[in-house]
Amino acid sequence: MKYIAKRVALIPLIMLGTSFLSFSLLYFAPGGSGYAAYAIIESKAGVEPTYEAILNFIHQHNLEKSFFAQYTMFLYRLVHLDLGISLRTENPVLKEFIIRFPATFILTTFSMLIALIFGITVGILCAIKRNTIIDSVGMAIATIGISVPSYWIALLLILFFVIKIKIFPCFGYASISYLILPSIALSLPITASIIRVTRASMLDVLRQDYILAARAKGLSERIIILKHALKNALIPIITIASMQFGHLLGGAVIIESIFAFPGVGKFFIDSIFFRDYPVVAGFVLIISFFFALINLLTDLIYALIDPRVRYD
Amino acid sequence: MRKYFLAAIIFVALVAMLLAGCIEGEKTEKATISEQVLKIGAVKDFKQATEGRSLIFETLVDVDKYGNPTPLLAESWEVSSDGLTYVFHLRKGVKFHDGTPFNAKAAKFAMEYSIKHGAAYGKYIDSVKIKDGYTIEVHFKEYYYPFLLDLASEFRSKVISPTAVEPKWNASGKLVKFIGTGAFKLVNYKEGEFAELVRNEDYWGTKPKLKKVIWKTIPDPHSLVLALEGGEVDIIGAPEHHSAVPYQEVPRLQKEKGIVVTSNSYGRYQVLRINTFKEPLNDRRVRQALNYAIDRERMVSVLFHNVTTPAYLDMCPWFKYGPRNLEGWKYDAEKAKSLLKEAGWEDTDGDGIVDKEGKPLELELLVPEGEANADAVAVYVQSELKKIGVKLNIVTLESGAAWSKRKKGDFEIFVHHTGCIPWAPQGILWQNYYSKAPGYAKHYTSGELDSLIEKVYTTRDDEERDRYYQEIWKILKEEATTIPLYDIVKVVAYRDYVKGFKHAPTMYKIDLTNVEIVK
Repeated sequence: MKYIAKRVALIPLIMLGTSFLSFSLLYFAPGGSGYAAYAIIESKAGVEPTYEAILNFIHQHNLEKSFFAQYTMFLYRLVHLDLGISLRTENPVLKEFIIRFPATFILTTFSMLIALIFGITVGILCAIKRNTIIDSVGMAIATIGISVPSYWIALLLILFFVIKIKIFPCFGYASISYLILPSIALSLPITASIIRVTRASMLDVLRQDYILAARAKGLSERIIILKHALKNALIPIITIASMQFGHLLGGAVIIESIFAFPGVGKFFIDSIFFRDYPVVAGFVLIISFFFALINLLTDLIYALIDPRVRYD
Repeated sequence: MRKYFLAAIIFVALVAMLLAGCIEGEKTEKATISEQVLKIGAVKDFKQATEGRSLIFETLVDVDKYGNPTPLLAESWEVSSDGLTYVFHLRKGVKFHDGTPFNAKAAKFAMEYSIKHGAAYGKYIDSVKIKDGYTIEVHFKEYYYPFLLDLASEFRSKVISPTAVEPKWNASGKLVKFIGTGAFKLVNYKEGEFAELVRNEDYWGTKPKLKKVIWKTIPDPHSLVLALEGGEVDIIGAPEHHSAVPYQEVPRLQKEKGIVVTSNSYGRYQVLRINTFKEPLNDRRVRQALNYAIDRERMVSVLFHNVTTPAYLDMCPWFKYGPRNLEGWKYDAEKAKSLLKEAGWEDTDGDGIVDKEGKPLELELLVPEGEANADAVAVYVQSELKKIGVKLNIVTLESGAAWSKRKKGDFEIFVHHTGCIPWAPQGILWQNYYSKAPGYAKHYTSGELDSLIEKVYTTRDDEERDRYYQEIWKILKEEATTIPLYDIVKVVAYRDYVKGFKHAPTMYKIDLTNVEIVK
């Protein structure tokens, strides 16, 4: 319990650190606030803004202040639970996050479920049917999944399921069925890495003495695999899955763009290109919170499945 | 026990979040397919796109494709002979979408809102006065010639309802509701996803045949094309001023059954701007040689399957003040080589690159990332220049980094474009060639050009202004300040049941007046 409290107390520090890093990286990126003004006005008006318009914009949004002053302002607002206003959309940053996050969260969860179920199953099969045709097929899937870019898979999925045989809706997010294709595209590389990790980890465990002992005891193969072996092989799988989960919560830019999925990713990346400082700092802050939380949960899950892991 | 409890909590939390998200998702967008509904596929979000907003908001003055101001919400206007007073006679019987009447009071409010929100003419204006119920007078402190053209821009001068801002009737307020006078009303909108528009039944002009317009945001251009092919949207390309339909996709789309592809020139050219202050580009002959060295016809056929046409001049010749009686650049590699020789550049060491005083002719082309077609064009230009012995190094930078180099003048050649109506030609000249205009580094200036630009901006006489413009074009051509490449045409593709589509007069608008669905 004390350990958990300590970890939870660390989360705000992590959030502050990452937000400071992102804030300063963006602030000192070439172009600066002048480019923010230029890019945002240009995108809205369709014409290059005059120098006056740029200066006006900079003045209006307090962008001429020093780095230190701007960061202090950011912290000051943060204390009042205000992440500021997006330079580009002129909406509160928190609102921008909240309207986009549910879609990203669902897509991430869905993809992770697919990847975990499919990945672990195939991984185990490969391990117990080692060096058979099943193993080769499984490893082939894993290799393809890792090496083929997911945007290409995404376009193929659209071409086949949306345009040729028309069984799935696409572009946008109006109901659960809109989730299927993007989840498949997104989960493919994760599935692939889970297959590989599961297989390797299972092979390792299956060579252990206690498996031999279990077999000698006359336990059924099913129980040996699922209860004795899998439980011990689970730690690296959970590690990789939680890392991926955290990454995906930050948004999947390419997949979101291709499927016109209204998640965090595309907006986030655009904000970087537009030098939308409040959005980038705010989003990084929130996403780092989730990341830290997931890491904490992962560590707790380790303790759950492996009693040897203790945190006190 | 404790660990199971924890696991249960995590599980419940996850399920709850998942469900919350599902319910959120189910609520959105239930587009019922009925007749006369047009689904537009767009790269941008509706509110972020000037083409989208133009369906809702109108302006006092409109502009035709050549750059002549035409009446819209102002039926007519008069300008005093000193050019300092404009009188606008407003259209009667126009109402905003919420029923607020459009009259002199509302027009004055809208203009003041624009002035407070960064319109360029703002600082020249002394006052806006109501003359009578449907007439307003605008008094200038100083003459500003592009005023009517600026008024034609939705971005700078949209006529918004006084009830659309918060607080109401406050010209410094924030626009919170999309209430205009246009042919369509915004009824439903989800940021980054879609917008739903219905016909404005009280519209003062020709009522559109469409009952409803769905604007669907699909950020990826290739997905956009797939969405059209799959029938998820009915029309693409119309809501973007730069072509959103990749030129490479056009030949394939043209072959597709049930899809119509059209394109339209708005006189906007992709050009390479040459920094005439840097060696060796400060030699006019070198710049001319670069212009002669590029076979533009072959470029558009090889790169773009002739979807577009080559550009030979700095500015579109059919614009109102565009260059007339001026011969454009023609491909002539021999002439290019002899010009280089004349300037002292010759291949003395036989490495295929011309040199002078032991230095090879090496140039750097700055390409901002994301500039449409620029990568392909850069490689093409590189190969063309190599044929006359010029080595071109392509430097692609993130657009912010490229912008700051350009601003400082820290470049040799960079990929850019000429403007289009209503900003061209005046804005482009000001920004790139007028030495006293602050901001970007100018890539070519001269005292003569400065005074001509000043004359263009101060004369009250249209014919005289045109004469000055012609002199400007002549100088820019002789000095070879840019390398014009091709016309950035706007490609629009739609399903064949969409009838009556017409390209709007300017790049920034969508004309849906006669569009109907005939299935």
